[in-house]
This record gives sequence, C-alpha cells and structure tokens, in this order.
Amino acid sequence: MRILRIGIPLLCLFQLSCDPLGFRAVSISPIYGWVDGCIDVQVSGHGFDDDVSGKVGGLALENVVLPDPETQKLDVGFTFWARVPANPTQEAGFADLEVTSGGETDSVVDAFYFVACPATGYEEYLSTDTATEGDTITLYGCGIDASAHKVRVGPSKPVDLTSVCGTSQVSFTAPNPGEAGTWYVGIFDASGKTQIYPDPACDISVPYGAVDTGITDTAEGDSCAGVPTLTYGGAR
Amino acid sequence: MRHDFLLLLPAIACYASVVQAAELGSVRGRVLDDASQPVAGAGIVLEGVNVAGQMIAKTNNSGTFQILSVPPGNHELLVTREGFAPMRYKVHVRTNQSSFVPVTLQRADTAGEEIVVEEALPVIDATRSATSTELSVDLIQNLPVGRSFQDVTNMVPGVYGRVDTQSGGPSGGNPSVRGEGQYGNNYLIDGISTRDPATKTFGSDVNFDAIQEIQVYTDGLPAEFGEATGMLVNVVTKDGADEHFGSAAYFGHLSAAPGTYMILDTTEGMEVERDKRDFLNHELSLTAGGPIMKERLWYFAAIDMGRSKIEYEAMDPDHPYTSFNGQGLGKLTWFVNDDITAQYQVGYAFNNIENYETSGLYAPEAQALYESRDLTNILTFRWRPSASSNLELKLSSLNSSIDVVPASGEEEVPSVIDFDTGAITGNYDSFDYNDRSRLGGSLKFTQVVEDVLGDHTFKVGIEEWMLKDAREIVYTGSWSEGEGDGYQFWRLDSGGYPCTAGGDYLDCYGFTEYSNVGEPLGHKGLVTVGFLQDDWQIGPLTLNLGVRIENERLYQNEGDVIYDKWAPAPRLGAAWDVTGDSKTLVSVNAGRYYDLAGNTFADWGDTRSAYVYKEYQYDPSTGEYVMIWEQNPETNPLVYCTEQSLEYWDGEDPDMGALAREACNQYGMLKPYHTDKIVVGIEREILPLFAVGVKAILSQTRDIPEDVDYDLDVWVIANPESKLRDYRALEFTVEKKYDGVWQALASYTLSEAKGTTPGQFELASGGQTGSNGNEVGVYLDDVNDRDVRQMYFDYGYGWLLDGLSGLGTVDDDAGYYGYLPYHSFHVVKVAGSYTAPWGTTVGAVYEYDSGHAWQRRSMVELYGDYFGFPEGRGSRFMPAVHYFDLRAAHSFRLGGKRSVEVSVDAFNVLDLESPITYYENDNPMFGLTMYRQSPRSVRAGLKFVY
Repeated sequence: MRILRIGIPLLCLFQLSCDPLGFRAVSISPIYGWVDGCIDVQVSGHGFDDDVSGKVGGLALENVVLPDPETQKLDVGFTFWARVPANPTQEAGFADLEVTSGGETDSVVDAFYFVACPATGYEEYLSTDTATEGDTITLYGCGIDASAHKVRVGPSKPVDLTSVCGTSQVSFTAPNPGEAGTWYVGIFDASGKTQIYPDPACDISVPYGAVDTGITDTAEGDSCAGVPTLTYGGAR
Repeated sequence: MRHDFLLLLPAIACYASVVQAAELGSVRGRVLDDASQPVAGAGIVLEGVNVAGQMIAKTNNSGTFQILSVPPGNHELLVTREGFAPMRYKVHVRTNQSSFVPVTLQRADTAGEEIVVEEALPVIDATRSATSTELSVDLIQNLPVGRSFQDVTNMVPGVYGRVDTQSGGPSGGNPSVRGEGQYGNNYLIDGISTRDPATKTFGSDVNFDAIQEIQVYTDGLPAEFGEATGMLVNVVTKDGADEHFGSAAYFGHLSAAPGTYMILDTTEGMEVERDKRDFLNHELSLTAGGPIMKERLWYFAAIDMGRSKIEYEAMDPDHPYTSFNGQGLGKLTWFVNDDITAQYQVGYAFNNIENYETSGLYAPEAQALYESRDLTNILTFRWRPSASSNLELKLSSLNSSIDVVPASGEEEVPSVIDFDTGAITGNYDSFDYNDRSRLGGSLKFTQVVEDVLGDHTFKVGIEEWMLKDAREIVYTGSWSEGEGDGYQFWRLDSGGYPCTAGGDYLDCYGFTEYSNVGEPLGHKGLVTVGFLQDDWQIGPLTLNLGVRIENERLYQNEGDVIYDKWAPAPRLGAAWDVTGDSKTLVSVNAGRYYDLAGNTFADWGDTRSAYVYKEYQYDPSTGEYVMIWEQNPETNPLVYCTEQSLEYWDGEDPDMGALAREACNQYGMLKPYHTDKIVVGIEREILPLFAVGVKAILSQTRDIPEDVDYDLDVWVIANPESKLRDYRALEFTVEKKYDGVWQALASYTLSEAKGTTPGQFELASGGQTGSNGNEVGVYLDDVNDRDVRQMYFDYGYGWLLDGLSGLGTVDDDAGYYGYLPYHSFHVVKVAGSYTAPWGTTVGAVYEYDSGHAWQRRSMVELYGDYFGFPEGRGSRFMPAVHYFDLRAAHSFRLGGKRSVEVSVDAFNVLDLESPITYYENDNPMFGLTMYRQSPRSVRAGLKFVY
C-alpha cells in the first residue's frame, strides 16, 4: 500500500488526477446540541469507507448508519448519520469532529458546540403540534428525567414519561385536557403538582380554563414564550 | 520591370500600406549567400491580395530584415540582390506573430530566372514566449463548428467552453480558461475590446463569414494587452482588397434526434421523459469587399440575418423560444499615401427574442421579450513617421442596450411564484432596461532599433477608456388596480395558500414588494493604461520584456470616486531559437495579469439602489401580512475598503466609518485583482508545417474582492486572503498548418483548477441550476471570533450559524477550497480537415472531457438558500463526455475565383446523451440530471464565393 501511495502520485505528473479527493471530513449538521446528547447528526465529507466512524469532543458517535448502496447511492462515501452522546462532563463548549475511515483520521476543529441545558426539564419542541387523546407524543429538550418528572397538557391530569433517549427525548401518551383547544405542555415533579418547566409564572392552564394545578399565578409577559403546545379537536 | 523597380529601393527599410497594430503580424528573415555568409542590402518586397501596394524592406549588415504590420493571410515575399537569382516565397502571416523566412540566394551573373521556393516556411515564431492559437479562416471554415467566434474558441487548448458551469447546460459562449471563470476573458474585435463593462462577458457578435483570423491568447499575454486573467480573443475581420471578393450563403440548422430522454422537471421534483430539444435555425450571410480605387480606397461589408425557433425540453411547445437576429459590418480603408492609412468601420447587431425564459417555469402569460442592440464605431489612423517607426491611433465607441420586458406589456398585473413548484404565472416580474458603453482610444508607437546590444522592437502605448452602464428596473404588479406597484405574490397550495390570480391576493402565502427609491442605477469607470514592451533579440535568444500599468477609477453617487487604483504588471519572457532555424523553441514566460474591478463592482455597494426589497409573510394568528425581510442599501450599505469610501463614511456616519475601518484592517484594503502565471514550454516543428509542443503552466489568482459581514451591521468589500484560485497544467499540442490539403489542431490538457471561488464577485453562490458557488461570502459571513461564536450558542442563536460551514478562517475549515466547477482533469481535443484534389473537404472535431467538478449544496437557514458545501467544494465529478462532430463539403468551381460550396455539418453525430449538469441542492432532487449534451443536429449550407 505504501508503495502505491507514494508511487502513483509520482507516476502522475504533478500528482494530478491521482486520488484527487482522498479522504476528508468536512462538516457536521447540526453544529450544536445539548450537553445531554442524543443529537442526531449527519457527518459529511468525502472518501468515507464502510468502516467509517466518528467522534465529537472525543466521544464516539453512536448509532452510526451508512447510506444504503441501493437507495442512497449518491450518499455512499460522502456521508453517514449518527447520534452524539451526552457530554459526561455536562460542560458547555466547543468540540472537534474527528472521523476515521480506512485507517486514516481527519478532524475539523471546533466543529460542534455542546450547549448547556438552560433549565431542569427544559422543553424545546414536540414531535407534533396536534393530538387526540391516546397519541404517543415525543418531547424534545434537556434535563427531563422520565423517572422523576411528569407532564400535564393544560388542565389534564399528570401523565408518566418514558425515556426515548437519555434526558433529552421522552415520550408520553396524550392525556384528555377536558375540552378542545390549544394547551401548553408543562413538566411537573413526580407528584404532578409542582410545575418545574416552564416558570410557574406561566400557568400552563391559562388562558384556556382553570383546574386544580396548585398554581395561582397567571401567565404574563414572555414567561410562556417558546413553550410547546398541543392542539386538540382540530382547532387552529 | 519589377526587378528594375527594386533597384530603386531606398537604402533603408521602409514599409507601405499599414503599420504595426494588434490585428496585424510581421515577417522577418535572414538572407545568406550560398557560402552561408550574410547578404546585406538585399531588397525585400511583400505583396498580397490584401496588401495595398507593396511592403518593402532591405537587409542589414547581418543579412536580416523585418517587415512590421502585415495583414494576416497568405502573401508572397520576393528577395532580390544584384548578382543573385531573385527568390519568391509563399508566406503565411498570423496575427501578432512574426513569420520567419530563411533565404539562401544563388549566385547568378545576370538577374537570372526567378526561383520560386515551394518549400513551406517555419510555422513557429521563435521570438516570442507568449502562447496563442491562431484560428485561420481556412481552419474555421472547414470544420464542423458553430458559426460564431465564441464557438470556435472551444477548440483552443486550455479553453473549457462546452459546458456553461455558471448556469448549467451547454455553453453560453463565455468559456473558462486556465482556471479562471467565465468573467476572466477579454474579447477584441479588430484590436478594440468589446467586453461588456458590466457583465465582463463578450459584448458583440461578429459576422462569421467576415472573420479573417482569430487569435486566442491563453498564456503570456504581452504588455500591449490587458483585462484578461483567462484568455484574450482577438478577432480580426476581413478588409477590402485590390480585387473584388465576397460570398452569399444560406445555412439551415435543425435538430436530427427524434426521441426522448430523462431530464429533471423541477415542478414535478423528479426526472421525467421529455422530447429532446427540437429546433430550426435559418441563416443568411452576405459579404463583399474590394477596391473602390485600387491601392487607395477599399471597402468591405457583411450582413448576417438569422431566425431560430427552439423548443426547449421543459417549454410549452406552443410557445417556443424564437429569435430574430442579425449583424452588419462595414469598413472603409483609405491609403492616403504610402505612409498614412485611415480606416473607419461600423458594426451593428440586434437580437429580438420571444419567450425568452426557457426553464419551463414561466407560463405563457408570464413570459418575457428580450431585445438587444449593439453599435460599434472604430476609427483608425496609421502613420509611419520614419522608416523604422509606426504610430497608430484608434478611437472607438461601443454602445449596447439590452431590455427584458414582460411579453404581456402589462405593468399592473402581478407575477405569482409558486413556492411548491417554482412556477411563475400571471406576469413577468419587471421591465429591465440596460444600457452600456465603452468609449475611448489608444495611441501606440513602435520603434525598431538595430545593433544596440542586439535588435529591439520597442512598443509603447497609452489607452484611455470610459466604461458606463445604466440600468432601470420597473417592477410589475399592483395590489389592486391603481394601487402601488412592484408586488410579486407567493403561492403555497400545499400550505393552503392558493393565491388566486386576479383575486384580492389575501389568500397568498406572502409577497415581495419592490419600491423604487432613486434614479436608475448608473456607473462610470475610467481606465487609463500605459505600456512599454521590448522584444530584444540577441542572436537566437529573444527577451520579451514588458510592463503594463493600469489605473481604474470607479464612480458612483453622482460622481463620488469609490475606487482608484494603480496596478503595475510586469510581463517577462524569453524565447530561445535552439536550432537557429525557427523550428525549435524553448520558452519561459512569467507575468502578472490584472483585471478591472468593473462597473458591476461599483453597483455592488451603491447606496442609490434603485429599489428597496421587502418580503412579507401571512400571519394566520393576526390575519395580516408581516414583514420578514428588508433589503435597503440606503440603510445597510456595503463599504468599500478604499480610502475614498472610508472617508465618505467617516463624514456620513462616523460610527459606521470606524467599524468599517476595523473590518478593513482585518480583511485587507482593496487591491487590484490579479493572476500571476508562469509558463515553460518547448515546441518543435518535426515536419514541414507540423509542430508538436508541450508546456507546463502554473498560476494563482489573488486579491479577489468579496463582501464580508463584519458584525451583522457592517458589511465591507475587502480582499480576504481566503478568496483565491490556483491552477496548474501540463499541455501537449499538435498542430498542422493548412497546406491546401490537410490541417489539424489537437491537444491534451492535464489540469487542476482549485480555489475557494470560481468567479470574481458578481454573482451569489446559491441557485439550483449550476455548479457555480461564486462567492465565499457565506463562509466568511460566519462568525469567526470564537468567543462571540460561543455567545451565539449560549444565548440560543446557534441556528444563525448553522449551515455557514465553519469558523471562516484561512485554514478553510469549511471546505470552501476545492475543485472549481470548470475543473476537469483530462481534456482531449482533436480538430482537422482534409481536402481532396477534386474539391471535397471532410472535417471533424472530437473532444473528450473527463467530467467537471460539482458538489452538494446545503441550506443555510439564515439566508434561506443553498449556500453551504457540506462535503467540500468540487467533491464530485460529472461523468465523462464525448463530443463528435463531422463536416462534409464539396466546392464546385464555376470558373475564375467563383465557386459554389455545398456543405453538411452534423453535430453530436452519435447523439450521445451524457449528463452535463446535475441538480446540486440538498433536497430530494439532488443529483438528478438537469441538462444533457445537445442532441444531434444537422446543418446544411449553400455558399457562393467569388
């Protein structure tokens, strides 16, 4: 192999046209994610062999999926999909991307950023914004402990959570909020009475109807901004 | 009688008719006796049908002579000396080249019989290190090529012109050369640049049958020439003559490939089976030239009219693209006396196109009309103030207009763009009026100095040009009758926004609003050039020494200078006539080649923008349209990193000025954009008229302007280090000059074109239809300060950085440095023709392209377009493509010089269908075929020549 690697370029004048691209890691997408991990990413570059693997900040990427040569032939050698694990130090910061393929390793400095979780039980978005009772909904965020937290949808009763991936992806069965409408989705403690997220200033049941949540403040200002909602009954 | 006349020759060299100019060549030689001793005082007379009178010279003590400023073409050279037999040679002169004539006189007691030398003269000009290819009228008229000078240049080694790597599809007539993009070329017609000052593309067409010769410089451009980092095309048109000549021709060109192929339909989102492109072109061409008064007044005129109908694959067959175009050329040449020549020429071209948009996305009612007009005037004075010096003055004006307007003629009807399919209905979106001009002149002086440390041919010149452009855009579309204008509405059926045409437009997904806020955009550039060059011959070695100094001043805001730069460009070379017979040349050439920033550059940061652009989107929660994007150059200007621009902003807005200075310090004050190139070559004439050569080329382009986002508020136009190009190549050439029987031009180019941008700076990198990616702006717009970058992530604004591809450092973390879209490792070109004794000519052109580079582009959410290069630039290569064209023609002699030629040209004879452009955006259409090779077509011609 060594002879070929040295000899072929020498045979080719100016090294032109000899393995013109070779192996190179270029990008990771998305370029940031929670320190809790479970971030599905696409790593791209060229010259990726079947044995390609990667690391972000020294952490081995999990669930590596290579393109299907039959249905994704344009992706073969150029990309793979994987999951970034949780950062065990839980520290925010830049991380290098490192890709190994065919015995070679290439890296992209500061390619990824671990973002600190802004709050316990932080909700980012839901797998859907409409639901009917009994649907399985996935909640994405960070700091959500499926064994210690519950979720309520507006005035609904608390429902249990199941971890899909660590503390950043949990699922729950859509409860009955009592009436059609758009309802905030809140994270509660194990008792289902103490609202952990969003800030209690955002009463998840307001303005759609009062229920015995134990919360007396009403929502004002931006404290509800960005909190995911579920719409029941097809209302818009 | 003639010999008696020759004895009356003056004692020093003198020339008649014409003098040194960019569209002329020269003849030089050495006269020896049969003992190989130099013959001094031998008379030299050059005659030809397109030489008025005679061009006369005399050998010096070394037995050498030189005749400057000879029109390209076939001439006869007569050498006489008392005591020797006169000798007559056939000389072929090429533009800007020196044809070498080695003469050995035979002693004779009397004047003796004239000896006609049939032996071919050397084809190599062993006194120059520049690389150019001369496409003679014999070559271009005998090959299966498109009838335009742009098409013909494709056969030149190093020219990548078969594919339009900017917009996708077959060539648009602006090739990429030596690693430079489509905007790096200069196009001269009879020594005058006709390059469009705004687009930097070719500016004028030329009647094909009016072309005498085309010279294409690809390397080592002499100091006399500029405005080219790629190639310089020098089209020399025919002139009158002392004999009448002309032609009348008709050509019909039609597609000859029935059937279908698979091609991407972006409205369907998939490859669909489409009828191959169907077209029919008619062309009528007339030329005439000759003497009005022999040896005193000549004329030449040419007219060419064409009509085309093309059904592009995606177009509605009932509304095909149709073009009616024509060119006219007229020349008058007055030989005032033996020393003074005056010439006036006028050229006019027009093109009217219906259904101008060929993508298939435009409904018939949303189609556009295209109209272009070009008018060229050139006045040339040539004067020989002394026997060894020449002076040439050229004054010229080029004016062109290009208008693209709605076919409907409606101003109030809006256009509706379908966000699901990209289709446009309702109306065309604007009336776009463009005017461009180049006015100016050049003064060039040539002086031959002999026996001062060798022989010198000095050439010095100055040029002054004013380049202007003006553009007025009137956007169509009223919200309702009589209420405002400049609205384009957005349909998104899949989201429940049918955006009913003719309705109240309250069911649209959003709309774009253009509002005119100022005068029509117009810019002016003043270009001043001075050059000095010396071809210094010391025995077999010739040094080509030159320097070109250019100054460009760009104006905007009604007279503000925003750019004023001087650029000195050395051009150095050495040519060694190894064997002393002009048959073996070893050369080296190194030079710097600047290009103009150009008028579009002035437009870039123009604060008088003709319109403000706003986007509104429907908000279902309020039932109203909300503005989501505004582009207003008055409030968000681009600041040029020049002292003039910074001083302007210091006065207008000191805070902006201070920030801009910081940015300019970081990214570099603007410097003239240039290419540095070195070429080393060897060329050998191995058989008469048959030469082979090999050369190595290395070049790099730097100081390319770029707009850089400094802190999301301040944008500057600077010279970031990371915007660059590199090119290297090894090129083998074979050339057989025409001897009346056969000719050939072949080359193999092994090359590598890499960089972070294929173009200059005019065009954005987004767009689905090509392999461009012109800017590195997105890459450099990334937040590149690590601490600031961290803040973006920590405060929840990481999405703003997503897709921008990296930290924007010169280390190219972002993969922006890679193979450029016109890069192709291997290109083989073979062109040639054979003429049988009975008058039948067969010609062929073959080209192999190993596949140009392309890449995947990723969405950058911040800009809402596909600007990223997630796998790196040029990470993929198109399939190899073969082009094979054939020609057969027979000439029927009618007596005298009259003949009729019947010809048939077949293009893409094998009807190959290789993809030449893939869809690049990273969505489900990625990698699908947008364009294939042009289908097989046949052109039949009938041409009468006298």
